[in-house]
Amino acid sequence: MNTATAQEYLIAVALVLVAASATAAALARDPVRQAVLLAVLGLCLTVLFTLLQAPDVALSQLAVGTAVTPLLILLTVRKVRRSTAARRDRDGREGSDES
Amino acid sequence: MNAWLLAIAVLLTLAMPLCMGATARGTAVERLAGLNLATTVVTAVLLLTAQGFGRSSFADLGLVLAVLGPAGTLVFARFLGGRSIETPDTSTRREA
Repeated sequence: MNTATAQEYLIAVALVLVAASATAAALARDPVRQAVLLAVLGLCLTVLFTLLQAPDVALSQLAVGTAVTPLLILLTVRKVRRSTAARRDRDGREGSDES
Repeated sequence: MNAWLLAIAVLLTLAMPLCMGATARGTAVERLAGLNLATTVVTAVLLLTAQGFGRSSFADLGLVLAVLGPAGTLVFARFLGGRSIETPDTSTRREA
């Protein structure tokens, strides 16, 4: 098996990994679990870009997909949950006052 | 096909599906262990790629991931820990 065949096999494996992790991220319902799967998808995309001889694209994908995107998603989920819980608490208190 | 590419093939076909299986099931905290293992495996794959293709500039990717991976895991652990501490607090407030 020469080097070109090995390279094509590695690219095929990386493509399958990207497809599998993207499907898993799309099928997850909880946003926190989805953020973890999105980080794994970023790692698989980094491997794919590296095997396709694009290290600069892989570097930016690494910085954005591994650190920044899950951080933004977790911050958003926390903010939304907190405001929803506060509104539910306020509504429950008003409901108990009325009753 | 040299030994470095063979090692990349073994890591990508055997180790990465296991990491993805660990991140695809369980609670959010259990998935974090799978993510950390995947970060380590991908770091090894990137360093092996730098050796196998004979391009030393690829090694920077592995070094950057070795810095960013534990930082990302700490970020996840910080937010997940804050959520699991918050949850019994709201439930007791609702009971009271």
